[in-house]
Amino acid sequence: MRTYVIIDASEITSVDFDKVLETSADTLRYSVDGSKVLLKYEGTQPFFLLGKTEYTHSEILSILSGPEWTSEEIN
Amino acid sequence: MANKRISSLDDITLVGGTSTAEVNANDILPITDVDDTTGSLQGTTKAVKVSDLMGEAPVQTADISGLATQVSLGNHEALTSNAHGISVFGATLVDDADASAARTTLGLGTAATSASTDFYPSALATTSYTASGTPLAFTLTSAANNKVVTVNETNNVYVTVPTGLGAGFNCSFVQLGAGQVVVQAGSGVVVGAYTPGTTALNTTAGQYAALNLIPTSTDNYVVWGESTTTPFSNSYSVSMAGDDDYVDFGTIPQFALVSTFSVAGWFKTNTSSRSLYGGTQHYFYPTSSGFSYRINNQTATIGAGTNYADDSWYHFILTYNSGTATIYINGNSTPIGSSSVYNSTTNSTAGDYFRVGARAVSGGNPSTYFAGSVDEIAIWDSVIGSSEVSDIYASNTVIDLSSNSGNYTSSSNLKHWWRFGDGDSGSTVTDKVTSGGVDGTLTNGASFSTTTP
Repeated sequence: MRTYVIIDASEITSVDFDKVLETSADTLRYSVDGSKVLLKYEGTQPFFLLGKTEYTHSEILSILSGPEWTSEEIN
Repeated sequence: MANKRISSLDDITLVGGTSTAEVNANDILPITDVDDTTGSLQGTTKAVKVSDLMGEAPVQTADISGLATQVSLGNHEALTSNAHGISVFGATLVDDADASAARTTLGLGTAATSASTDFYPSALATTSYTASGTPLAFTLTSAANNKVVTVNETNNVYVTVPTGLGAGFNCSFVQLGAGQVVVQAGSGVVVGAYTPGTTALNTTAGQYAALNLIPTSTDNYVVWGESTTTPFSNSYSVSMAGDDDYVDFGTIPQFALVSTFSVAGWFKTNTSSRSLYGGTQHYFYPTSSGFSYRINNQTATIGAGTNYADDSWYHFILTYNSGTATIYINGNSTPIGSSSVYNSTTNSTAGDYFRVGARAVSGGNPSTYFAGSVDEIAIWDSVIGSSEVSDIYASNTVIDLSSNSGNYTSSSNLKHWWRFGDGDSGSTVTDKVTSGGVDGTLTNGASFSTTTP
């Protein structure tokens, strides 16, 4: 079961990429304004994400489809 | 008359009287007991030598002084292997009861059976690896040098030969289970077929088949043994969740200032999806009402009004011919639509990003993620003809695009072909077109899946 969290872009330096499913800082999905970043993991919540709101897959897809995360076609 | 064991010549029963004495043919003559024995038979001293008994078969009683008739020595032969020219020890090798001890004496270990774990001489050291992942795979290490690597799996196992195993590294693979062992070269390594010019015979032929990895120089090998070509099958695809995962192929030179190309593949959406594939200046994605296609930053909707259901596999072929994009679905030679898009060539001078499961925006950042499964993406530098479409689709099966088949004649124009799991390992999606190939990388949790068209 995958669990999703959203962190501030300023917190990327604290992310241990061995503990999340994202490959590296270079492949992260940012919000449209670049202020937030999506992370996901399986199993126990990593220590550096403690306290963050957790989302299920369906919940995060709903969030990601909104204008904060998805713009109309970008040229 | 029943058999009687003869311990001395005096025990021999005579029939027919003393003047025409005959030995009862059913009597058994123990050789050890009669060797150089002197005894009394009906008052006559008789001498019997072993050489008399061994010299002829059957032995004539006439050879034994005082005995006139033939003695059946069938039982005698059972008692002495020397009668057949086999040593006593040799006889133990062929005797079930003694074979184990005899083989031990010779250092042969226990007798081999096809399914036994000691199928191989104990002098050969064996080792094994834990195959893991989807598909099952492991990477050789120098620990396997000079050893037999046993592989006991139900499904095929892909073995990668990495660089740096050292000069002279060699090993053998033995397929103990139903899963075949597929030996493939890692980056910087050449694994060729033993017979030049043949398709790589890099797969064990079946259960208990053995395959040898033979070094020709450092990081160069040939495989030889009970081998076959990797059977063409489609067992895997790539699954993406539509959150932030995709397959990254970097940039594709075939999209640099070209006027013709074709892209084909299979897809299955889980939810209303976005980019099946894309870069910065092009993308292609199915919607619930047709396909949206963009090239050189101009977009066209092709096949508008066509409904594509989630959770079903579809095969697509997109052709681009000097400004006209055409889309074929599920092998139908009549396209779902065509549209003029931009002008005659792509406008990139260095190719464009190519992502499967996302597109790329300025700077290459991923965007518009795909939720579902993708398989068998191929790119040609030519326009696939309508007559080829049906044979590529092949009645809803996956075919070997590297070989022409039926009306499909464009294999020589195939520039990239990613099988999305079949023959892949780890997080690498290998380009099956080796000349100019571009490997992809599973990114942000995209994974190989056993869901297939």
